[in-house]
Amino acid sequence: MSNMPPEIIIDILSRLPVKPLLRFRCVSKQWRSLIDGNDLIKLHLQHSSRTNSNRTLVVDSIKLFYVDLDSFELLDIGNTRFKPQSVAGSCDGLVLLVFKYDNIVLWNPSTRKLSKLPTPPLEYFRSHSVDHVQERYGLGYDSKHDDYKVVRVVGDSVLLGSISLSSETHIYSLKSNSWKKVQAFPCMLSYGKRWGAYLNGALHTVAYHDVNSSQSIVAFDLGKEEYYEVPKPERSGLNLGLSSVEALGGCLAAVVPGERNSCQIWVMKEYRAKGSWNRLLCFHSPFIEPCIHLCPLAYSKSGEKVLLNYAGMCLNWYNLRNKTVEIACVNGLSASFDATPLDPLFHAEVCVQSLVSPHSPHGSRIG
Amino acid sequence: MARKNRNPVGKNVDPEAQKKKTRTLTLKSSDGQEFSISESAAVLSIAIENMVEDDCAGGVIPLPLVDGGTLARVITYLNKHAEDGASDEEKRKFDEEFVSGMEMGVLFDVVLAANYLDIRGLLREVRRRIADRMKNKSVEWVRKTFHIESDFTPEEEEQMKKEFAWAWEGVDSDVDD
Repeated sequence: MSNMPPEIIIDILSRLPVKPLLRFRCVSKQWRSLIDGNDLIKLHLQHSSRTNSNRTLVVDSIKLFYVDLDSFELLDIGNTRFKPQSVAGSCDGLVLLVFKYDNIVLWNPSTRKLSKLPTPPLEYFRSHSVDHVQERYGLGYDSKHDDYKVVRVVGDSVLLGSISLSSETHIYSLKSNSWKKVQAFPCMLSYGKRWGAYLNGALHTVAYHDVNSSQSIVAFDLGKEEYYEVPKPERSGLNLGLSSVEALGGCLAAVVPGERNSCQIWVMKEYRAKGSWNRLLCFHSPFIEPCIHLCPLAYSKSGEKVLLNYAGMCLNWYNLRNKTVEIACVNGLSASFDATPLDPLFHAEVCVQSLVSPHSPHGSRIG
Repeated sequence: MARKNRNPVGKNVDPEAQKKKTRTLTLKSSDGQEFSISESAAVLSIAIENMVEDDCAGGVIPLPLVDGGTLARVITYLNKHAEDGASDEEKRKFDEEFVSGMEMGVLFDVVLAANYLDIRGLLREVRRRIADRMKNKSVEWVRKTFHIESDFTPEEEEQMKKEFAWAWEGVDSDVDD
């Protein structure tokens, strides 16, 4: 047999799951450099996204569950143990974990590699009472600079009645392994640790311009490092109240609590096109309490069902055709439609299996 | 042509496409075997299409990088995909069966031929099948199958294995399927 051209080998490798790729680094020096190379990492991500494969779910409960999204089988994460309630975002196979304001970690569960980020600037905490400080974190990819970035907004807590807009935004670049200050978040922070949807090179969140204004969807462009607003769904001239924005199947999705115990998911088919918002589904909670914590996670492989996280209590598949709901069981994770708690009990994040390294090319240079 | 007249005016019937169906080309393999194929099937290969367009065909197209056995397989694929009225579902099923019985060595020959002849669909199908066969295999199996000799020292290899020891769990035996 004649020698296989590298472009064929690289294409074949891009179709493999991460685990055999890590094994096949041992085949030869050429294979190792192909597997560790940027071309394959990108091709592998593209292939996963095109074919909806290599998808997993990270469920942040009393402990961390790592699950194959198609089979719902538990996957091994080795000896890594994390404190609960630390998952703040995910992008291209990297998971952002925030334990304390100065302890932030990037983790790739499929390669089991993790790296601690340098300590972010803490001036804000020195000039403000720590009790009043709200933090919000997000992780995304900046295609303009081929860089992964963590965005952190700190500001006064709205819940405490403060209407102060004073906040600081810092951005961490994996390429430079450093934090820098950028333009402050232009709106008020609402309660919550996560930014919300990463989509199209930007992080998205629901925010208020001031206490009297209605909600907006605010996005932060990771390449330009600028804020912009995204139109929100409207129905016959009425602004719909949103509880969050999420990414679903490559589109922005909005969670719209409805009357009584219903909750709708709207999807913006064409990014930033106001008229392209469409209602995807209407979920009825089994309880009389308003249903605000509903989070759409992913479409099933066939596209027929949507995976929902209901109040952090229960993962379920919503069938779009016959509008039925079935519970999706994760072994070891309690799942039931029990009395609605005030706060979600667990957070679930969709994460693709990838070869993206959580380590900075400038790992030794901290600062 | 009577056939042409039966089509309503304004609907484009490409006389060129009709001609391609009836015109046959001869493909000659590296070991001198000759195969007849309709032009419409042959031009599913971008490389052959270019040769035909450049008119360097001159009746017989020599393919010095493809042996007779492999070329026969490729032609079976091309004929199916050029078949009138074959539905996408039918073609998909054909593709599945077409590659499922092939040994790794044959898949390699076909992938190289598909790459050389630039037949996108076949290339994709065979690459997918190769990846599928590899995913639970050992490093040794891959080296043997791809005819690769390790250029790592045993120490280097041990070190790399240690880094991702869990990736060696659940590997199939080296028996070829």
